[in-house]
Amino acid sequence: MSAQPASAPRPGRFSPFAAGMFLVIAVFLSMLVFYGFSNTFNLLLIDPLINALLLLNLVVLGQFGLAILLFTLLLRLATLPFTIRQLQSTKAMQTAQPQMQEIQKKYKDPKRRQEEMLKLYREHNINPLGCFLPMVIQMVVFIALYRSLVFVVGGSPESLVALSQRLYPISFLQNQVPLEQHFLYLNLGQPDTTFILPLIVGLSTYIQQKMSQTPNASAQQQLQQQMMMWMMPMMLVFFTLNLPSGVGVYWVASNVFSLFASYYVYGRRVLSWRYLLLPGPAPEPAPAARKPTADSRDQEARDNEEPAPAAPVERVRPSHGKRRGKRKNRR
Amino acid sequence: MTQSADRSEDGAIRSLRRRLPWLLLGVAFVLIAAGCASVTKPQGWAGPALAGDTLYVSIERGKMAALNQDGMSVKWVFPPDTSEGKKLDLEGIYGSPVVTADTIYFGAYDGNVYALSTQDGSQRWGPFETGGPIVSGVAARAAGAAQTIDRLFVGSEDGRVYALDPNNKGAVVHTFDAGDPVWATPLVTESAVYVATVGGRLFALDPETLDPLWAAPFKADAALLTDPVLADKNTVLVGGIGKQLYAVDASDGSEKWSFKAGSWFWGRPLVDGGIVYVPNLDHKVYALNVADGSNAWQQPFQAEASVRSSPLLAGSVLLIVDRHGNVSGLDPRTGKSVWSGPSILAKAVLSDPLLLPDTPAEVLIVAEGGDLFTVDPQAGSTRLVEVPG
Repeated sequence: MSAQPASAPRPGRFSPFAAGMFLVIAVFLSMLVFYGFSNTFNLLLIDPLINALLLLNLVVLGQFGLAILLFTLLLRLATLPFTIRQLQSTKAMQTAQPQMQEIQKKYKDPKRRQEEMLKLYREHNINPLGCFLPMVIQMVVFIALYRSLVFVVGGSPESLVALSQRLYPISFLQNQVPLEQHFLYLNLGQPDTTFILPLIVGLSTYIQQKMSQTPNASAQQQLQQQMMMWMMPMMLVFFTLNLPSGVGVYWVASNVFSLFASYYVYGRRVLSWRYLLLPGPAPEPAPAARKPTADSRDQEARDNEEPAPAAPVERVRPSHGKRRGKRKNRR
Repeated sequence: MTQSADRSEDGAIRSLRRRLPWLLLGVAFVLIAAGCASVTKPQGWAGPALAGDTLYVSIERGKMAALNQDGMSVKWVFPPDTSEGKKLDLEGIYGSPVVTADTIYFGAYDGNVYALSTQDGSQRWGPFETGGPIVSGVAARAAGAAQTIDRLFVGSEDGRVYALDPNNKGAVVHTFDAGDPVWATPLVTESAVYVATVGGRLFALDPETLDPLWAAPFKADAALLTDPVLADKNTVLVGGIGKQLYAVDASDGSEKWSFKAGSWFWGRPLVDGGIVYVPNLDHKVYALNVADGSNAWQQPFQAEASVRSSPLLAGSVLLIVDRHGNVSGLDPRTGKSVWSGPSILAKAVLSDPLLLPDTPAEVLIVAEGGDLFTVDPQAGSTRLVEVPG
């Protein structure tokens, strides 16, 4: 029996992390009930973010564009363990892809196939949900930053009146208002109408996605992933065209950080133009076929005796598959 | 075995993994779209002005209208609804207009100073273009005859103060580089023009040359936002983001006293009978003795929301309008409410109210978006004014 990695989930048991998460969710839901969604969102995210940005603005001597970059760097460093874990998980998934396909072809019983797949995940230290947390954090920060920038460099006197209600009563934070809105050629409170920033956002998102692309078994899944590969950057280009430029600056900086993280995990291969332009993820060199365990050999034998339906993942079934199943049934 | 049975937990995870980015994008889109509703482009908070029987009101974002006081019918709207007018986007009007016998002057967020005919709203000259948005109002120096002016002063976000000749097509007579954006309407007296800047400095300038009159400007800790006002012959009051209201000696720029509140001062102080009534964004209105800045009331008036609109004295009632459109009538001696409770307009209000002096007197309030309300200062009753056409 293979040793279970420390990070692997243990079904049926709560880790302290999970317990903490439940507590956080419970507090969050209570606040939702008492304060409503908007107030809770503002209280927990927008207001702290606004004040943190002002603090960073002080650190970088009043250059708000640099404050956004510094904020991005700090946030990405804080979530670096999750990011690295996500990338490693993706890399491991790519490595294990041939074995996954083999399992899907080999085991017709869904329960049995799931067990084998989980074993494979454990062996390769794959956390199938590992990518979610960084992605959720990214999106929440994206939205919160957008709302914060509307207040901080909203570009209208009305937004400053609203900002006054969100600042903590700390003189050195408040006295920085109004902030310097210009950074490079951008007005951080206004959308970039030159298309330069939106295009950089789109391009960097595409590259970042390409690097963290996960392999998919079926042609349909691959098609969906390819669509996502293009749709996500295009939507972000559209967002950036309509949002304050500061949000775009954050997104680009975040993508550049991801690039370095990917380089750290994957090595030089991510810098290959062929890798970036290929339609699917570049497959890792297939490792030696996994040795079947004694249990799995027994189970395999049992499986072979069972009636086996066509593999669900493979949409194009072998022409003889169904007939063979029926013939077995008859026997 | 059916196809539904094939959906294993692993398949569900992979499916979730595939769809999560779409889900997150969808959530982001919805939240951002919801947020867009609250994103404010510059709207403007110009208070109305009355000249004769005509009201000049920004009844829509970036539009100035002349209304007959009787019946509130529209005389004209600028920019007009023509092909030429549609090319103009004033973006927002923040300062109350200056009105003379035949011309109305105002600055707009598009950075221009406009001079329009009071008769038909046509442009008399210009517009005069500054180098940045204009958040302040235009200040005028009166000439000898009634309702005539010989100089206009306007501050811009480009950090300059412009002195224009209104009788010479708005020609620039002088400029002064204040170094920081100017968001407050300059205060014009016979001997000086006082200019407060976002950089926290208050300048006293010669009205003829715009040369500084003080050896050094008065310096505050943070941006100065309120229009400077004269408290007495030798005291200028100004406040801003540093939460302080300053009384500055008008002759040399030294500080006489200061008063600290809970948040920013942005509304213009009202001075009457040795007391200054000043609103604050901390939801309070303070009454201070001009002589030393001490409290004139036992405690400040607590509004429902932050107060940017300037207080207004309507007879014996001090009228306060907060940002959420709650109107309160106070006894100016005590700060106690003289109505049973605030009248609720249910509209955001950041503009200064205007007293309509007809009998019975009413107060006109312009809410965000251009809705007009009148308030009876004695009873506290409010009325939404329908603008025909």
